[in-house]
Amino acid sequence: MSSQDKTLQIEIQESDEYAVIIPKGYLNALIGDRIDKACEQLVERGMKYLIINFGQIELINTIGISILVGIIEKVLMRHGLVYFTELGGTNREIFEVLGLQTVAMIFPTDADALAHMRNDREIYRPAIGG
Amino acid sequence: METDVRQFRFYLAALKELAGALVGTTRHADSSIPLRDSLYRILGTFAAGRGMVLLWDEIERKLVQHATKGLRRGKTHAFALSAAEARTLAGSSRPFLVLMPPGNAEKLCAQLKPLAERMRLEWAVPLISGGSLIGLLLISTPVGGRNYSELQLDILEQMAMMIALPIADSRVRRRLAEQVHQLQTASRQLRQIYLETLRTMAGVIDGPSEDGRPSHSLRVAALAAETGRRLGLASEVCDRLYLAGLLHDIGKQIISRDLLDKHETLTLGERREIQEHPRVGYELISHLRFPWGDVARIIRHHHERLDGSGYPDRLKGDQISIEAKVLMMAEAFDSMTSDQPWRPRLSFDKVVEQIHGNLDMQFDPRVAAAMCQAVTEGLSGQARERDFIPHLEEGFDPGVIRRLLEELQRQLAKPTLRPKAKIVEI
Repeated sequence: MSSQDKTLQIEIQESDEYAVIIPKGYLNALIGDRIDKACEQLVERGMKYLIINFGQIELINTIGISILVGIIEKVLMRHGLVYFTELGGTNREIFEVLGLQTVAMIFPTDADALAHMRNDREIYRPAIGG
Repeated sequence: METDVRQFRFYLAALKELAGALVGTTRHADSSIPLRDSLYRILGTFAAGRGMVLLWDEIERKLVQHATKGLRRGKTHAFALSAAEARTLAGSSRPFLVLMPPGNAEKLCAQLKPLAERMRLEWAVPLISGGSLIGLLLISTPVGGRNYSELQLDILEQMAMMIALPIADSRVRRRLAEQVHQLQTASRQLRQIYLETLRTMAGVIDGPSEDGRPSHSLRVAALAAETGRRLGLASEVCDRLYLAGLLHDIGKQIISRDLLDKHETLTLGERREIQEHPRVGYELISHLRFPWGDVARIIRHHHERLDGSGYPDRLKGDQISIEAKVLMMAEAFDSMTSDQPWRPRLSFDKVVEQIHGNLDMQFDPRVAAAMCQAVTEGLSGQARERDFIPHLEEGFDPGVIRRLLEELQRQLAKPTLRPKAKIVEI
């Protein structure tokens, strides 16, 4: 299932076990809140794996980061996992400086993330996030 | 080493981002959206998931929740804080662990503890500006359970100081705006009291009113102000005209009531004595500093004529201020439409004839046209100051007044048709 809200500039591709969230533009308070709400609904419905694809995000500011951190915490509390894919150079650097790679998985593509997810689902998923 | 450089670069960018966002919020930095944005920016800088901004209410002696992240919506949290605790918190801007409060802030921290544990808000940072407590920032540790480094605590402290400044600024601005509003209200009330006092004084100047209707000075004041409005004069000038109207005859206080009420023709000496009243009025009030400006000069010149035959200074044309021209027009009109000791009021045909016949000699045509409009509109209920209306309605047929004044206005709009007339004694 796929839905795209042009006003919110977020595309969500949903399957039974995972969802791919593709925000677009500049990840600021407005878009960040929309992603947060969308992810919260997915998590509350029992979705354990969220893939957030940053391929169409130009730059993430500190408000955007705080919202991503909120999403990670919510997913971790439900023993799920967040994947970040297609992170550009600057955004990847920010994530690494903040140590987000220790609480979320970073992969080049959605396919890589899905491969990890399938493996994680079948074997024991290492506890992350302290 | 590479990590350190990247970290510094990131923190510099985060500080710059926060500063840039705060620049536009100085007037409302303590309102919900700017506060929430500032909180989110700080949390994002440290990858912290939860936080809260509490602002210090000095009157209620409480720290009150104003922005939050990571807490489901519910009641607004507030925490009592003594003045001594507030002073302690204002003593250092350094972040501290909620469970290890500085000085005598244990009571506050005991109140904060249940919420802090539930939300895992381990750290608190006083928001301080100018040595005063503005509020308290509560923040969780970075996601993943890592502790803050000394560098991060330094940055956190700086960010807390950065948001405290505009919050304090916006509060001061609001307090100032409230004080200005209170002063303006008090000033308006004082002016009103002043005006009421002067209205009473105008009644004294005119003598007792038998029928309780507005006396001569009140009528002249109202008509002058209304005429000024129709000339497009500024509101403060119209207020000044109103005041000058109230006091224009104050100089008559030195003239005996017998002379003022004399039915017979005045002697030359008596006429000169009466003609002194504008100058005397000026001298009586010229030392008073009215909030409405130079009222005394208008009073001095309200019997000057455009052709220079008036008194006391024999001014001509543009030497006479617009206010004096308006006041003179209003007074002449009221005198003509009122019974005087030496003659009954003129018929309205005669009033119009007198105005028309004295244009450009005694009356400024522009002022005459504006006064005609003021009277006509006043009779239709469109005047703000209505004191001159009952007098006209009682003495004349309003329909006749309207018709004659409208005709005069039409003539005034065609200057070439206006004949020159001889001076008519009013």
